[in-house]
Amino acid sequence: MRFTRRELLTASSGAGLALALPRRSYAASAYPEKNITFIIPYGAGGGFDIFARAIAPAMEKRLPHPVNIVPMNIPTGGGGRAMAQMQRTRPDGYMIGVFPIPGALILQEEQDARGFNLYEFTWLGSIGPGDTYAIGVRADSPIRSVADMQELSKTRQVSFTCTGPDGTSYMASVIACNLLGINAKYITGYAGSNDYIVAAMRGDGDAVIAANTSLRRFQGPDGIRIIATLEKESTLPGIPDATDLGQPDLGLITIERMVAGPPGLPADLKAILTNALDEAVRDPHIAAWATSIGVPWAPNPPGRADAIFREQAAFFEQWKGLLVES
Amino acid sequence: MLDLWFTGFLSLLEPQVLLFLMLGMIIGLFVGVLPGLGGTTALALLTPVTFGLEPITALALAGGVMGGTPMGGAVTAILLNTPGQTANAVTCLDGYPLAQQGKAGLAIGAAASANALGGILGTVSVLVILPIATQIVLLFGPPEFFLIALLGLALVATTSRGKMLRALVTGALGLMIASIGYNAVTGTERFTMGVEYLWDGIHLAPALVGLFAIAEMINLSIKGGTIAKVDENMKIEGLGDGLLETFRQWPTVLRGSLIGTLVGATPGVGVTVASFLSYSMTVQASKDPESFGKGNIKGVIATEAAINAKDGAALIPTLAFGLPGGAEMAVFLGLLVLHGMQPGPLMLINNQVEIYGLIWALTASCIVASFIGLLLARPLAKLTYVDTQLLAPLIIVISLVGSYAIDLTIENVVLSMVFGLIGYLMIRFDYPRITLVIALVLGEIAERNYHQSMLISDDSWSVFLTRTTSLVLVIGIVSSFLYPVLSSMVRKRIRARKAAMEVRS
Repeated sequence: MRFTRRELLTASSGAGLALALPRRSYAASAYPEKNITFIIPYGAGGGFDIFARAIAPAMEKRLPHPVNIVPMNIPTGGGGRAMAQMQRTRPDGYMIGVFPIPGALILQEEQDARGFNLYEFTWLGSIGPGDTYAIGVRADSPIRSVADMQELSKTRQVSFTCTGPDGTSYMASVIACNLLGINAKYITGYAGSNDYIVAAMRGDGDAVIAANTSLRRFQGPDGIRIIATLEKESTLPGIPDATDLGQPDLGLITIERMVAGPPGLPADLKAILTNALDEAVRDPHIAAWATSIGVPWAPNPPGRADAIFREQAAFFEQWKGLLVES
Repeated sequence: MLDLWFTGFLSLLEPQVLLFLMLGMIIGLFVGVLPGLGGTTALALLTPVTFGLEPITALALAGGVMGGTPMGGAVTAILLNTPGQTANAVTCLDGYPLAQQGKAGLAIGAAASANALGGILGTVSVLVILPIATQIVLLFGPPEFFLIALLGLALVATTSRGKMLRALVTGALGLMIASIGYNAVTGTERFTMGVEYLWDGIHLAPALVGLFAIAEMINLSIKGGTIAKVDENMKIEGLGDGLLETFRQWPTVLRGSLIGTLVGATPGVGVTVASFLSYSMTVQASKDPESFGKGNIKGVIATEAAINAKDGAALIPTLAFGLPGGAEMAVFLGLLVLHGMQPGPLMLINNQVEIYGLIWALTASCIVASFIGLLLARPLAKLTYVDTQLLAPLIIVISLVGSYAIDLTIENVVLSMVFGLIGYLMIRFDYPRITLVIALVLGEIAERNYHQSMLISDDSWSVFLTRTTSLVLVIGIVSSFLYPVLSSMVRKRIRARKAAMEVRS
C-alpha cells in the first residue's frame, strides 16, 4: 500500500490533532507538573525574602499536584530585572513573583526602558496585610512631636534617612513630608529598613519614616522614639495618628507584598494559584509565625487582588508628579 | 553572664545538634574549597532544609557552615592561587608562592592553626564586647566607613613593594570598574551599556573566579609542568612546622584577630577588607617587608587569623540591629527570622542562650574544620605535583560551574571568562591583581559613604574631623603613611652613624 504525500500529511496532521486535543485538556488538570519558580525582587534575608520563603511551602501544600515552589532572588536594578523577567516569561503558571506595591510603580516610571508594565501583570493576592508607616526620632532627640518638626523646618531642612530614590521608604518620606508641610532633605543610599533606622539612631539624620512593624522593633530608651504613626487609627497607645495630625491621607501610605503572575496567565491557572495563596495566608502556622516576629496578621479578604492593586496605583498616580520630579 | 555562656555551650551537646553542627562544618569545608562558592551559597541552599528543625539545631548547622568555609577557602588559595572565597584572595599572596616552593604543607599547617586561633580569639572578644556591642556598632557611620575604605585604598601601595606604580594603575582600574552599575544614593545607572546584568555592578565572586582561577590555569597551561617546581618524589611535609609557626607569631595572630573583630563588628566594609588590613599592617610592622609576596608565612597567618576572628564579630551587628556585614550574614539573617528570632536590640536580651550556642558552634566548627584541613593537607597538596595539562581543564570546568551556580546566571560565566583574560594579561605583564580586587571591593563602599557623609554634613569636610571615631581613623591613616617614611629615615640615619663609627675606628 502506498500513500501520496498529501494523504500522508493529512493523516499525520489529523493524528497530531488527535494527540494534541486530549493533551490540552489533560494539561489544565495536570497543572502543576513541575516546580514553580517564585521570584523575589530583593536579596536573600530581607523582609520580602522572608515572607516569600515562609509562604512558599504553605502554598505548595495547596496545589493540586505535589511540586515545589522554589524562591529565587533577583535583586538586580532595585528589583527592575525581576519585573522585566516576569513581563517576558511564558504565561504557563511556572513563574510567579512578589512585588512591593506601590513602590514598584516608581521603579516602572524610572526604568521606562526595561519595558515592564505592572498594570498588565496577573495579580493573585497579597502576602499578609499591607504595612503602614510611622515617624521616629532618636530616643534623646529634642524633637518631641510632629509640631516640633514643622517648627524646626522653618529654620532649616529636617533630614530623613531612607533608601535610594526608587525605594518605598523614600516614597513614603516624600509624600508624608509634603502632606505635613515639612521642609525636608533625604539622606539616601541605605540598603534596607534596618540600615536606615539604625542610621537615624546613630544621628545620621534627624528622623526616619519606616514601616510600623520595622520601626517598632527599635523602640526603646537607647533606640527610637515613635512620635507619630501614619495609621488612620493609632495602634500605639498615646501616639498621635494620621487623623490627629489632621492629614487622614497619611493613612493611605502603605506597602503591600503583592503576588503576581505574568501578563495573560490563563484563568484556570490563575484560579489555582490564587486559591493556594489565599489558603496559605490563612494557614494557622503562618499566622503564628507572623505574630512571633511582631507582624499583626490580618490577611486581606480573598479575591481582592485586582482591587488592591488599583487602589494603590490610583494613590501612586496622585503623587507621581512629585515623586518622579524629586 | 558566665552561666549563660555555659548554658549556651550545653545546648550544643544534644546528639542531633552535634550531628547537624558537624554536617554544616563538612558542607562548609567542601563548599569553601570550590572557587567562587562560599558560605553564602551553602547557607542559601540549606535554609529550606532547616524548616523542620529546632532553632538551636538550625543555628548549629549554620554555625557549622560559617566556621567551615574559611579553612576550605584557604586550601584552594594556597594550592591553586584561586581564592575559595573573596577574602582568601589575600591568602594567595604568600600562600601560593609557598606552594610553588614545595612548602604547601607548611602553608596549610599555618593556615589551619591561624584559623583555629583566630576563631578562638574572635569568640573571646565577642563574648567580652557583647554587653557593649550596640554602642560600638553605633560609633561607626558613613564618615567612618569612608575613612576605613580610604585606609584600605591607601594601604594598596604597601602590598606591592617595588611595583608601586603598577599597583596604582591596577588600583585605579579597579576603582573605574567599581563605578559601573546602579548608584544607590542618586538612583542613577552608570556605564551599564543597556546590559541588565551590569545594573548591580561587576559581580565580585565571578570576577574573582576569572581573575584568579581562570587566569592562573591559562598561565599554567601555557607554561606546562607542575605548580610546585620541585622534585616530583619530594615528600609533602612541614605541616607540623606550619602548625607551630603560628604559635611563634603571636603578635601577627593577635593583630589579625583584633582587626578581624573590629572590622566584623562594624557592618559595611566586609571580610576582604579585614584580611587585607591585617596583611598590610603585618607587612608594615615587619622588619623584612621585602619578603612578603614571595612566600612569607606571616602573610598567610595574618590573613587567616583575621578572616576567622571576623566571623564571630560579624554576628554582633547582624543580631543586634539586623545589619548584615556581608552576603553570608544576609542569608543567615533570613534563617534567623524563619525560626522566629527577630534580630534587633531585643534579640540580645530575649535569645541569649541561642546566641551563645551559636557562638560556640561557630568556634567548634572552626577548630574541627582546621583539624580536618590538616588531615587533608597531604593528599590535597599532591595537586601541586599534578601535570597542569590534566589539572587546568578540570579546574576551569569546576570554576565556571561554580561561577554559574552563585546565582544561576550564565552572564556570570561570561564575566569570569572576561576577567580570566584580564587576569592572564596581568600575570603576563606583571601587574598585581590584589590591588584591583581591593579597589573593586572598596570603590563602591568609599563612594556611597562619601556621598552620604556629604549629605549629612551639607557638603562640609569637617564631618571627618569633628566626630571622635573619625578623628581617630584620620590619625591612623596619616600615621600609616608617615610610619614607613619615618622608620626608613631613622634606619638610614642609624646606618650612616654606624658607618661613620666604623670609618673612625
